[in-house]
This record gives sequence, structure tokens and C-alpha cells, in this order.
Amino acid sequence: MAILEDTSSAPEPTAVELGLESAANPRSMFARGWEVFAENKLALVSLVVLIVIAGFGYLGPFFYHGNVTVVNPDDVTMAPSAAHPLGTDQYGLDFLEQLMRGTATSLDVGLAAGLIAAVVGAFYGAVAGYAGGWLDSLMMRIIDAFMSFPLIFALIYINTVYGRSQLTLIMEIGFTSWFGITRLVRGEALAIKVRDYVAASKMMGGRSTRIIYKHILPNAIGTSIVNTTFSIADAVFALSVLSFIGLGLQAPTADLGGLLDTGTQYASQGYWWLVYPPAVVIIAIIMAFNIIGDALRDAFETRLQKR
Amino acid sequence: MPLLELKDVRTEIRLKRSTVHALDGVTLSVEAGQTLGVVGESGCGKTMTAMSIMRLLPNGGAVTGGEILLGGRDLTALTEAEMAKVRGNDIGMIFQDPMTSLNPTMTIGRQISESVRIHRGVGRKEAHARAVEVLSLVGMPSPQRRALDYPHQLSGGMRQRAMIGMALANEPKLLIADEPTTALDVTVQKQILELIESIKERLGMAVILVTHDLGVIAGRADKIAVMYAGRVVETTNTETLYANPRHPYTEALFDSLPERGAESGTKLYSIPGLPPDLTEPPAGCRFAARCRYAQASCREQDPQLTGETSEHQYACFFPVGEVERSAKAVPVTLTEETSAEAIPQSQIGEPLLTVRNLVKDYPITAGAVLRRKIGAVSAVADVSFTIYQGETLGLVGESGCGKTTVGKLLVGLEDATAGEIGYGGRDLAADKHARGAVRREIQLMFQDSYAAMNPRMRVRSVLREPLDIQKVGDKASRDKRIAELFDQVGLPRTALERYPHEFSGGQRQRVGLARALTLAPKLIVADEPVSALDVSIQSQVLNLMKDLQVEFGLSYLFISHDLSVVRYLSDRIGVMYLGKLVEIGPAESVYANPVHHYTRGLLDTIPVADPAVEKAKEDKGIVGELPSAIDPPSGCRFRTRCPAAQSLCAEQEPPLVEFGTNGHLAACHFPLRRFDGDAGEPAAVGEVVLPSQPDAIDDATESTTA
Repeated sequence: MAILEDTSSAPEPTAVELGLESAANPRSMFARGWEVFAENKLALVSLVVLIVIAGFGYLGPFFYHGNVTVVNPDDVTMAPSAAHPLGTDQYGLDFLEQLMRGTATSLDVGLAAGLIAAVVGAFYGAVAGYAGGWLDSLMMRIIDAFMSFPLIFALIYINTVYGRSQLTLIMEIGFTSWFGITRLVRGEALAIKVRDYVAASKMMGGRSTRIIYKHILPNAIGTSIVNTTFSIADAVFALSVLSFIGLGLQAPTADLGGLLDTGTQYASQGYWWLVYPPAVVIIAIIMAFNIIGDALRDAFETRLQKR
Repeated sequence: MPLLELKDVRTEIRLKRSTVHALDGVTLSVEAGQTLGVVGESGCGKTMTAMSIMRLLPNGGAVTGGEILLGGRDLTALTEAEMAKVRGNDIGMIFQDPMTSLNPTMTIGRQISESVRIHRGVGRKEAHARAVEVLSLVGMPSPQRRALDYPHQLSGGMRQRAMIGMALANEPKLLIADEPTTALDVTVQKQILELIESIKERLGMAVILVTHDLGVIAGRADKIAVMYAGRVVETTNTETLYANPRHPYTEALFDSLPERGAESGTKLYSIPGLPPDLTEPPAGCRFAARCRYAQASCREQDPQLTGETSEHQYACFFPVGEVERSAKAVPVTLTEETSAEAIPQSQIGEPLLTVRNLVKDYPITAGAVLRRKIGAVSAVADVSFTIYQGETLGLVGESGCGKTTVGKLLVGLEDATAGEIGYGGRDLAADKHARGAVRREIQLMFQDSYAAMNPRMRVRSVLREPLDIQKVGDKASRDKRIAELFDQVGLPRTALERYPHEFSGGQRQRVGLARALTLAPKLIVADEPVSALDVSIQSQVLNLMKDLQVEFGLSYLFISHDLSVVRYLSDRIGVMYLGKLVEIGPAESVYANPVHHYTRGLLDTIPVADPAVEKAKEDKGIVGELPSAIDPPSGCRFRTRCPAAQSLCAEQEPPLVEFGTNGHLAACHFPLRRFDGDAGEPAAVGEVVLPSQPDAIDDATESTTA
């Protein structure tokens, strides 16, 4: 060891060679998540479908104007034609325009109610899981009590008392569908609170609110986002069901479920254009959100991410 | 003819966008009755070699070139069905973690007999009889009964015995043991290694022992292959390798061993950087980037595995060691850091923290609503010690001895059941307000820094968290402090924007140390800070800890199961056993002249990277496994495993008394040596004067305290 060749000719090793600097630029967790997501072709297709449907619902009315206000006895239940690409309904109103407005309404209610469910559910679950003990037990028993109650009765009651405006429906669907997310986030919180980084934060003197905001919620975000997509799909579906059984939005506002309800009344008379379009849009929205949710679940699984 | 021969084996693992060249021309051979040790850092292809032989490669992996000859038959040419017959029948394998490799829903007897039935085509009854026979072969106590147990009912050591039994059920010709003892305690490790060796001799098998631990391999292997970056870089018999390593990598591994630093009193050598990325291996010598002797030519040409004799081969243009490299060799001083630097010594001052009669019991409860206390786990039982300013106190013991709990009690992660923790004139155990006030001054460094950092936070936020919580300074001054800390632990400031998982293990441990330092503490409790790291990286972290201690006058409570690491870093060592502090004293005194039988046993059990020492050890060491802390043995807790235990040990608990003028204390009725100012040769166990009558006890205790 003492006898050596002259080392002066040896080049200095670079930081990259020594592994001290990674050759590639550091990428954020979301950029790597996107990579995994983009590998799921079905999810990409779903994303495109969703964008197209949203464009149809929100931007469509700017480019296409049909008669949706004046009852026109001459035009009732006309089959699709150049003047009415999707025909007309029993009042002679243009169905394409109605479908656009119905899609926008369904998405509005679905997104708003889904987000309410996600936010309320995540916070409630994070607090219950982190607190543990009797508070956790109490909070979860409350959830159990809600879940054991047939919600349809509650909805009928709320609808009768508070009316059937868009806001009421958002609130009632939102505040009755957060239980699932709560349970999942609570489970995550139970697992996260025993991690060393939570212990480290406590040791530095970190308080509970800080730990929930900085450590529990960000690490439960994967679960939350995935389930938000599912809860949006569920909310769209719930609204359709409510409208279908006549508990949906007050006329003249109609959502996809309401349109479908009207359509099915005339289905036996062969007015297919009043049935299939709203049904297809409902199915497409729900399927797209569900597939995207699945792909997001993979994307947030760090093990599948590449550096 | 060797039993197993690997000729120029190449293994590739196809990923989505790249291909990892996991093995690149590995040539090895093992003869029947021989043990081949395979060593190297993690990620060097040790496990890949084993998996290539077994053809159990991960998804996308395949042997793409070369031959694997088992008894003359090329395994690479076999079909999957033929290979299935070879696995378990001709080749047995033991994995690192016995818990994950055993099926939790089947009794171990059935799992062993399953393999017997597949390969031998015998009936259920015969197979079960064979399973019991095999379990008794691997030294399982009461094998008849144990065969009916599920894996979770067995201890770690017994599970590994069951695994070995499974691997041996069909008397294979070759046993591959992949890190068979890494997940086990040192005392159990020795028993398992001895078991493998005795079975090898009895069955005349060949064994391939894959490990990162140079100590484990020293006493067990006949031949060693050192691997680096998917290649064998040096291979020879064990004695030659330890006495005269020729490859700079092998030499560097030895120089990183903490026991070498402790013996010579010099700083450890650490290999800079990390092994290369095997998706695009470097063109020249793969070790060149980290080699302290590398020349320009090393980066251009690839050295082949050659040597003066076929017995000792190495892949290096400028080998180190005995044989002169060239006549023109000139002595030069090394440009990079070497192991010639002395270990920096810090000034030891006043007592900083005093622990008195500390007790921690964890209650065991039953019932979901009304939690009844049905018992208690005695994790820490009546422990007292003092930590001085600028000192490192090492705490060693098997897992479950309570050393981590002591650390948690000091930093306030757990509340003490009884006792006091005196710090700055206040009792942290009783006074919660005091604990809040000194939170900044006592910090914890975690074993697994990765688990201790929020994966969704950038390292900058991770380091700033303590400053944010304690509201130190404004944003600019916090950022400045973080940047300084990163400089101090030797990381580039640009890395502050990265996430924890983008660092390697050693770098993460540096970040962990930086975080512990952010609030400028006086005491850092370091819980196994290097046990998850490779030896080459471990030395970097140990050196850094030592440097920072001198720079900031820090005190450390260094908790580890590894006595050689503790000895390198510590001024004093405390040995814990089942919640009790059984011995404490100056590091060299405890190491050279232990008093307690447990300390002696630990020292004998820990593998030393020296074949001569290892092979001379033979039957020393601690037998059995750690008893349950729910119902600890009466009197001296170590008596159930102690070679010198008498009836007195069960009746009376030995007090911690002085065994030297240098503050060497131990708790034993029948110590290995008497009070001795200049601490002579330790007496052998058999020579201890053992009083047979209870009357003699007082004499014994008196004479030790006298």
C-alpha cells in the first residue's frame, strides 16, 4: 500500500460518477406519477372522452342554438334531422341543446358533490385516525349510524323540506356520500401516524394540527384523489337516479337522469333518440371517472414509479 | 471436477426502457464439501448470482450467456420443468427473511413434507416422518411438536432453522444461503452459521454463502469471491484474501471495517460514491471512479481476472498487496483521504444528563372497550447511567434488550414508568414542561432515515421543519442555516430540492444527521444509525459523526447491536440485557476485560473479519434465545443463558458494582474477574471460584466491592 504508482495522472472522478449527483434532473412526484398514468392507454382514452364530454356540455351551447324555451306543437317528437340533429321531445324542444345543458348540469352537481364528499371525508378520517382512542371510536360510530340509515328516506325528506334546487342537491349528495372516503383515509392515517417521520415531528415539538396538515393529509392524498374520482362518478350516478325517480332537479332545469326519465316514457313508441344519447353520456362519464381513478391509484403507488 | 461451475455467466434484466446488466461474465466454482463465500456491497450482483443458478430471476430477467454446470450438466439448457426438479432436490436455498419465505397459513411440518412429497413421490405419512427427522437434524427442540406449529409461533432463529430444514429435506448437493443471518440477532446468527457448517460436513454438501458481512464469511468460507458491479473482481482462499488482498476494492472494504479503526486508533477509510449504474456500465475498470489508485488507463481498458497463480485471481492493472507491481514503482503520498489520519478526540466535560433508576413497562391489555391490564412487558428495568459533555456512550445488546426504549425515553417519545432523567437541574421524566424546554437540546437520529422523512416533502422542507416548529429566526436565516448544515454533512446544496427517495442510503443518513443538528443540540441519541448501510458507506457516516462531535462538542448516545461499531465511536460502552444495564465502563476496558458473562459472550459471538481469530473461536458464545420480557427470569435476568449460573442467581438480583478505578461497573454474582485496578487477563469461565453454599455469597459480593 505504501508503494504506489504516481497518481497525478489520474483524472478526478466527477460527482456524477460517484453517484453524489444524479445525472438526470430531479423530477417531482407528480411528473413521475403522470408517466405511470400515461402508460395506461385506456385511462388516456377516458381522459379524452371526459374532456370531449365536458366540452360538449359547457362549450357546446356557444356553437349550437336550438329551441329549448318555446313549446312548439308542430315539432313534437321529431326524429333526428338537419334542423334538429338529435330530434325533438314531446314538447317540440330541441334535444341536442337539452342534452348539452343536461350534461353540464350533471357534471356541475357531480363535481361539486364529489369534492365536498372528498374534502369532508378526508378531514374527518384524518382527524379520527390520528386522534385514535375514544374520539376515533365515537367518530366512526357516528359514520356507522349514518350508513345504517336508508338514505333514500333522508333524501326524500330533505327534498320536500328544502326544495330541489341545484344547490340543495349538491349539498345533500355531497354530505351523504363521504363515508367511504372517511374510512379509507382513517385507515391511512392509522398507518401513517406510527411512521418515524411523525415521531420525528412530534419530537421537534410539532402539534397535532401541523402533523395532520403536513404529514397525514399529504401522504393520504393518493387515496383521497383516487376516491374523489370515484365519488364524482357516484355523485353523477346518484343525481341521475334521483332525477329518474322524480326526486331530481326542479323543471325546467334537467340533468341527464331527468332526460333519460322523459325518454323512457316514450321508449315504447320508438323514440330512440330520447333514450340512447343521455344513457350513453351517463355511462361514458361514470366509466371514464372510474378508469381514471384506477389509473391514478397506480400512479400514486410509488413502487411503480421510475426515477 | 467441481460440483458447480459458472463459466462467464451473463444475466440481464429487461426493464421498460433499459436493460440492467446484472451479471457480466461471472466465473466461479465450488467443490463438494466446500464453502464458497460471496461478498460485496449491496447491488453488486451477489444475490443475482444465486438467483441465476436457481433460475429464480425477477420479471424480465434471464441468463443470456455462459454456462452453469451442476455436476457436468448445464442448467441453462434445461427446460422449466426439468429445472423445477433441480430446485429443492439438487440445490436447496435459504433466504434472508424466514418470515416472508414461509407460508403463514401452513404448519412448518407440512411445508417441509410438501417438498419431500413433490420430489420423492412418497405418501403423506412418510413425508411427515421425514419432516420431523429433518427438524431434529437442524436442532429444532422437540421436533414432533414443532412440526405442527405455524411460522408465527416460532422465534426468528427457529424459523430460520425450519427454512434450513426445508432446504435440506431432500439432501441437496448444493446449498445456497443468501444472507441467512442478516435478519437475526448476533447470538442467534452464530448458532445458525454453526448449524449450516455442521450439516455441510455431515451431508458432504457444497455451500454458497452470500453475505455483505466480512466477519461472517471469515470463519465459515474456504474460498471467497469478491464481487463488484456484476463481476468477480477477486477470488482466492479465505486466509490468503484476508492476509493479502490484491484488488483495491477488497482492500478498501477491509479498511472500512470499524474494528480496524478502533485497533489502530485511526480514522476509517471510506470508499467515495456508489457502485456504478449497471444499465450503462462504464467502459473501463468498473471500480475506477471510486478507486484511490486509479490511473487514466483504468478508465479506458477493462482489466481481466488474472493472477500469478490460478489460486489467487484478481481483475486489476495496479494490484495492491505483497507482490511488487513493477520495478519502477515509486512511493507517493495518497491524494485522497486515507486511513492514516488519527481519530479526532473530543474534550469530555461535566455530566450532561443523568439517568437514575429508569423503568419503562408497556402494559398488555385485553378487551376492546374496558381495557383491562393483564400484564406488562418490562422493557427497561432500573437503569442508571450518566452521559458527559462531549462524550459518546455506546449502548449495545440484542434486539429486545431495551436499548431503543432508553433512547426514546431520553428524547421524550415515550413516558417513563418510574425513575428520573436529570438534565440541566430538571427531571425530564416527571416534568413535562421541562421536556418541552429542552426538546431542542436532545435530538434523535433514526435508524432508517428514509422512514423518518416525509416522502412528500423536499429535503429542504424536511430540514426546515424543526426550525419552523421552534420558530427560530426568519425565513432567510432558516434557509441559510439549512444550506450551512448541508455543507457540514458534505452534501451539495443543489440536492436540497430533491425528495428523500432520490438519495442513497448513506446520503440519507447524512440528511438525517443534518436534521438532528438543525437546532444545535447538546445530545444526539443515535439509534442504530449505520446498521442498514454497507460497510463502505457506514465508515463515511461514522467518520462524519466523529468530526461533527469534535466541531460542536456534541454528546452522543450511540445505540447499536454491533459491538465493533460501538467500540470505534464510543468513549464508554454500556451493555444491556433484557431491560437491565449489566455492564458499563470505558470502551477499551469493557472490550478487553469484560466482567459480565453476557458481555464476554457477545464479544465471542460477534464475527471478526479475521479467519485465524474466527476459526479459533469454536464453541464459545451465548447459547439459546432471549427470554420473554413479559415474565423475565427472577434474580439475574441472564441466568437462563449464563454458563456460570448458580441457584443464588435465581434468588437475588446482582447489584451494579465497581470493578475498576476507571468507572467500570457490572452486575454479576460470579464475575469473570475481580476488582482490579490494572485489569489483568480475564479468567476463563471454568476458573471462576463458584461458592456452593449460600453463606459464601456475602463473601463473594464483598470481595468484589472491596
